[in-house]
Amino acid sequence: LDTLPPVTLREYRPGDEEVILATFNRVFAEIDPNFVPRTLAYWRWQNLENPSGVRIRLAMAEDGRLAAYLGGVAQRARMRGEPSAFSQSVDGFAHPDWRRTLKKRGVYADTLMSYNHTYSGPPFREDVFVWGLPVLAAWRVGRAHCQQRIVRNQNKLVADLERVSPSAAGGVEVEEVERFPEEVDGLFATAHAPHEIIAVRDAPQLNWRFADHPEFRYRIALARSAGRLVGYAVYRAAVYDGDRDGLLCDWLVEPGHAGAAEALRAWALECARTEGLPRLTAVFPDTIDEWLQFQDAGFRVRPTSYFPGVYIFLRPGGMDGIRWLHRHWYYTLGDSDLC
Amino acid sequence: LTLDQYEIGAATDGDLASLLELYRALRPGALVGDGREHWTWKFGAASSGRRVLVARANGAVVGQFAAIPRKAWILGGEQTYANVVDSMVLPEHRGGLRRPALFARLGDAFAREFGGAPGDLCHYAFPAVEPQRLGDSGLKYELVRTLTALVAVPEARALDPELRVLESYDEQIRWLFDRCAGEWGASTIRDADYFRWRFERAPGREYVPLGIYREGILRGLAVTARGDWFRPGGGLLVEWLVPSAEPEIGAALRDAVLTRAREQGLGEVATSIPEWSPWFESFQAAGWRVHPTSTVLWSRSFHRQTRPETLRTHWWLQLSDSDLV
Repeated sequence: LDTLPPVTLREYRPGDEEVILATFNRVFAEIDPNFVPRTLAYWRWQNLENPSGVRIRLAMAEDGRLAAYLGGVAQRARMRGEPSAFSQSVDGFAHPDWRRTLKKRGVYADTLMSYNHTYSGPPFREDVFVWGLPVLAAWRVGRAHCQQRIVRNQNKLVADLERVSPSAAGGVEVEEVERFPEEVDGLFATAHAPHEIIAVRDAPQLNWRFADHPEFRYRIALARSAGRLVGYAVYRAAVYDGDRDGLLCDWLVEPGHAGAAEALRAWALECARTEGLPRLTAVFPDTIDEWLQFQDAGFRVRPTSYFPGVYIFLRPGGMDGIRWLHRHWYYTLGDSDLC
Repeated sequence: LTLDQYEIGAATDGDLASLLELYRALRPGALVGDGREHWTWKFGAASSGRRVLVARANGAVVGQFAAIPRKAWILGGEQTYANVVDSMVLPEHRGGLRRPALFARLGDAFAREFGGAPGDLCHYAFPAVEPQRLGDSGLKYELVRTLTALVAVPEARALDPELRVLESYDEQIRWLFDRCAGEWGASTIRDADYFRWRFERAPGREYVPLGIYREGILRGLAVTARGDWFRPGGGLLVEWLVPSAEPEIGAALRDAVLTRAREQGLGEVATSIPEWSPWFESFQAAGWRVHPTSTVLWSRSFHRQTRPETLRTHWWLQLSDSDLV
């Protein structure tokens, strides 16, 4: 950082919110003409109220200015059935006074690496990997200085409502609710089994992510068979990758329960239809069963501009972490902050 | 041996016997027959711009870094890029995964020798696990994209009356390519010479080129083969050259591909088409499903026009652009 004012890299302390928000809102207002200033309520919800924990790294100058910031979303997880964790880096920036060219590692890259080392390692700490859906500028920094790698170019599943009609699902009832009940924990205990790595979807996490969101309103549907919870889906209308669509924000169905999947797809299609939207869009890794099931139900695969980039500390699949993640990681749009 | 004790240089005809020993040790079965004809077909004669560097120790070849050059159409001009293949170092001469010294040195020398104008604008590869890691750590290769497979179950369809199996290649290949290439940011140039080399003279492979004609003019072309890319011994559509403005030609060709596969008793046909292409949606509309694959495309760019983020969304890449089929 040679001639730039020196900084201290550290974790969040109560009271940092003021300088974080002020700098965040200044930096993003400069680069995004459509930027809506972040509220304190949103920031506290995202960063301090997450049941999975706190992931914040700051680069503070001696004069109290915030030189760089990286806020992540912690995700408790199951890896091969055992408790684990990873996190998504969502909000990162450098103060304009501390920006450097791509070729020279600057305070943002230092903050990024500090985040990785604080929460992932080495030595191993909490998160087996850190991931994100970076914009190109952030990706170039991460690629050049922080050993970030791409898991896949992310495609999406899209149902054009004029072409796709829901199929009938017998024996499954769908109920729309305001909050997730505790019995969703039991569904997750069953439904995570096919996936070697998956973020925890229990009632505290799901209610924090969807029911308690300070700005967005989600529609939540539970699918029951003979009274037993066999799946859920979360829906919201929003702009994703440039298109305003109905979005299937989250999805978890008991393995092999085709009726639950059909019923929840029909519910989500109807949500989009009644809101006058042209499409229903879902995002999954292409390695899970739903990828083909949704195509069989009329969804088409289309590209997006996104790609999950990861920094891996622990190589969970042995010697080749990226390929292992590519094959075994379950996620949906709701794992990200894009819906 | 220290790194300085290896001799790194262009492969000569005199290296061939030693090179084939290297293949027998590390890639048995990769070359057909005794390997001599196959290697020469793949990399060309020494006078033809061959892109092969070898590392020699005590007179024997202990490593190879090689690529197949292709004439390419990149953002409106003729350039070259090259497909890196068969790059390997004998285990006893590797530096270990944390210090891939000889492989990295070979790769760096290769990039210096052939990368960048007036040479190749990029080098690309479909690496297996270990070369991927080596390239990842030392050679500035970056992931362009993960490939998906479009897969269909063969079935008998009515065949277009002007469907032909091409017996030879002529100037109409280039005409057809020129009609397609306006929509592409980058592509291997498809012409008669390229097709003769890629499909007619490839050792140990049998390709079937299917063309749809109208009034004697080639309007669409598909090349099929059998191979292990998606499933062992499966049907493959390795080359698709049809203007996207002519969906009816594409539909007729797809029917021909599926009918032929059905006649051969194949369980499925797979192909790979970039997701940004209108054909990606068209194939799905015709009933083809998108499956994941383990194939990853990596590249090392020597020009801003061939950065991974550009290639990801503008490069017309077919299975025939690889040595996977």
